[in-house]
Amino acid sequence: MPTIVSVDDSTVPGEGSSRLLLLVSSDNKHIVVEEDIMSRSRFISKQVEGFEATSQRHAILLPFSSFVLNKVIEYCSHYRGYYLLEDDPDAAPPGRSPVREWDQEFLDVDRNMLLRIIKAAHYLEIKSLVGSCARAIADMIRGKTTEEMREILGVENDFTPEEEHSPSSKCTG
Amino acid sequence: MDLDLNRPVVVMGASHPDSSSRSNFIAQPPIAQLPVEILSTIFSYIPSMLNEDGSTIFTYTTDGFPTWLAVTDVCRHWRRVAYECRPLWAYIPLGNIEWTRIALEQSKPGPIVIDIPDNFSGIDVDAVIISFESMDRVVDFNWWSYIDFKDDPSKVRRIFDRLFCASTPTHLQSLTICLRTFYQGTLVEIPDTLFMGQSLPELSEVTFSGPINIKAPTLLHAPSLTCLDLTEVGVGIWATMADVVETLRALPLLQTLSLIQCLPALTDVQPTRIDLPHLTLLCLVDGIMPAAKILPFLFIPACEDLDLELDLRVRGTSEQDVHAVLKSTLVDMFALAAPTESSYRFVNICPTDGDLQDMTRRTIQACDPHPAGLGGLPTRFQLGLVYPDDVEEYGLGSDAPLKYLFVDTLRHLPISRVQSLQVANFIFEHDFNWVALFSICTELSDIAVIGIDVTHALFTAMVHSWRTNFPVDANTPSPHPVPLRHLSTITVYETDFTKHRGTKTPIMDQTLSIIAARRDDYYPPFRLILSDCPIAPDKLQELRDDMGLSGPGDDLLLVVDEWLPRSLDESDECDIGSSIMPVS
Repeated sequence: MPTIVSVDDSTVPGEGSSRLLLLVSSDNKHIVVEEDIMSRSRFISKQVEGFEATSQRHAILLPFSSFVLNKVIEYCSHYRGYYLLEDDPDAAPPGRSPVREWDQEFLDVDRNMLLRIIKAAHYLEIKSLVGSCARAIADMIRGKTTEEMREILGVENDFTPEEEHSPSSKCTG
Repeated sequence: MDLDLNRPVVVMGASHPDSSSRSNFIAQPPIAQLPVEILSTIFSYIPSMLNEDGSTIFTYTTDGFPTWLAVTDVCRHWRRVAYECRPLWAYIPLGNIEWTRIALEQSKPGPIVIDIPDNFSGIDVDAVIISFESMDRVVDFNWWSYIDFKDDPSKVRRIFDRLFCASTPTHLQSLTICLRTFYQGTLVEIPDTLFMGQSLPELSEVTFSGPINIKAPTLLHAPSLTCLDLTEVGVGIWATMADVVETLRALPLLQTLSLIQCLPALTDVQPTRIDLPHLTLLCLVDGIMPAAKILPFLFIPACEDLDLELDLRVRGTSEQDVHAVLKSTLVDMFALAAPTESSYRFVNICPTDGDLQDMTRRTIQACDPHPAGLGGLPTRFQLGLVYPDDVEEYGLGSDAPLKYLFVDTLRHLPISRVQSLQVANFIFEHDFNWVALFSICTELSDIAVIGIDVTHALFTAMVHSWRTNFPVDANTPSPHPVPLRHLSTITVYETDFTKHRGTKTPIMDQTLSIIAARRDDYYPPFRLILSDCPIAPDKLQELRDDMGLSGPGDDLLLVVDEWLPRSLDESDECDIGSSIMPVS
């Protein structure tokens, strides 16, 4: 069952032209954002569609911190009203096109933050942001040895020596 | 506002399709268990990326391990995800048959890419041939190799013998075969029938370089081809004029055509009309060959915005050849192309043989202007862009006598309507005839000078010449009958000014002082833009003050786009005063 919560008056923004949504982060910060901005998120859009059938006002509880949520909102605000190919469900698979320049600067964050953003984008179903983060992470491990990849991303090697070296064993995963 | 804060708020969010991910979201460290979909997305981008030096990642370790598959060795979770990530396996490894087979299997039934890397080392030819068995899934075939045919011609021949034989690449979209070392190795004879009978309806881009039959694109039967790039193709081996014509006429949708050093051996040259109604880029680059063989075509691009690059490195040719090339290039082609106001032309003529200097000049001067009704040249015109590096690459030196070609060529063209002129990387000399140039281009509103050889001294001479010879003020007597009424901007990019970054050098100081001393003579609203200029920001205002440019609306505007610290190289300096042209 949904939980009824109160709204912190401090979250009320100024006048806007679009309908407003209330997003609640995992650290219980209430963030009001225009619906247009978050329309790039398929998850949010589906939630809003569900709202239409009720007369109540709604908030959306999200499982990541306000810091991460604000980064996602910043991304969505920047591309508000823009068509991005990656968000088109009919778009072709990724090619060799480079990461957009603004995205490069936007994602110039530390590793853990980058991983949190991509997880949030994945949760919110923002394909373009997932793609940009994925490229940024792929760029981090591009051309690196296995050991370097483990070190860069902090992954532990859980292979046995036998598993590690044979293509046939790799094939069976 | 729609948000009514006095009403109850229902917290939503429990309906996410991946509800388990919410509970995992905070508890787990970010990298330990990235969702499979995210990890798979990351992996899918790895093969599509380039290394920092621009090379592809398709390299192999000494035992044939494909380096881009190193993600399969990180941990068990990554390995499981990697093996389910079809795009990761779409790039078929060719260094080890076992990996090739795995990739072919794991990528089914999706499209695949075959990429034979530059150095050919680490490649197992048997693996390449095995990959050909899945040609019907190949969308991109790249073979760009530097091969020593003398060492192992059989390796190349084995690949050619099996290429496209096992199955038809019906979904092929891009085909690149570039085999370098053509001039050093033994030619590998490629049979005419290599691509015979193949129907490739999806093929849109073809790049051939090296010992490839120029008829190949036609024989591929690729009616959707939009981009054809041929370099050193069919030299003296297979190509006839009929081959070339047949090839191009079979490609009605062609948008980009590059013919680079591939037509020197044609012996049956006759002017031939080829209609290319969709052509937007035409690049004809030739060299070390009889020049008359370069442009036997009258291309008829219907597009109004054609980018045209002609690079005719004429050498060891006759006066008649030069005459024919210049006439057909600069007159016939422009006349028939019917350019419009928005058209853009790029002509690069670089005779490099010192003996040609006088001959070329006489030839151009003797070249009759085209009869009336040329249609006019475009209003934007770029002439030049001879890259010294490229010239050296062809072993022809970099002492092109361009100053004659530049002005005299323009004189024979209906260029009076030209408004914007870019002069790039010319080997200017101090006695360059700027007056003649300005008098030809009477409608100029913008001149851009680009290149390493346009020194500050030459620039100053240019400005001086322009200012003294083309007064816009009716009350000012002019030694030249044609005033430049519209010229408002001169932009100088990347010249020797850049050698003095970070400080107001004596040379810069002297140059600008000369300009400043005569600033009253400059025509409003003349604007001088020094781009990539060496003046440090804190020196800029000082310079502006020196030149009396202290407020808005100044006639002479100095703009510095970029500044990077760099130590002053005293050897770059010279005496500017001696290079100033005398006032007429």
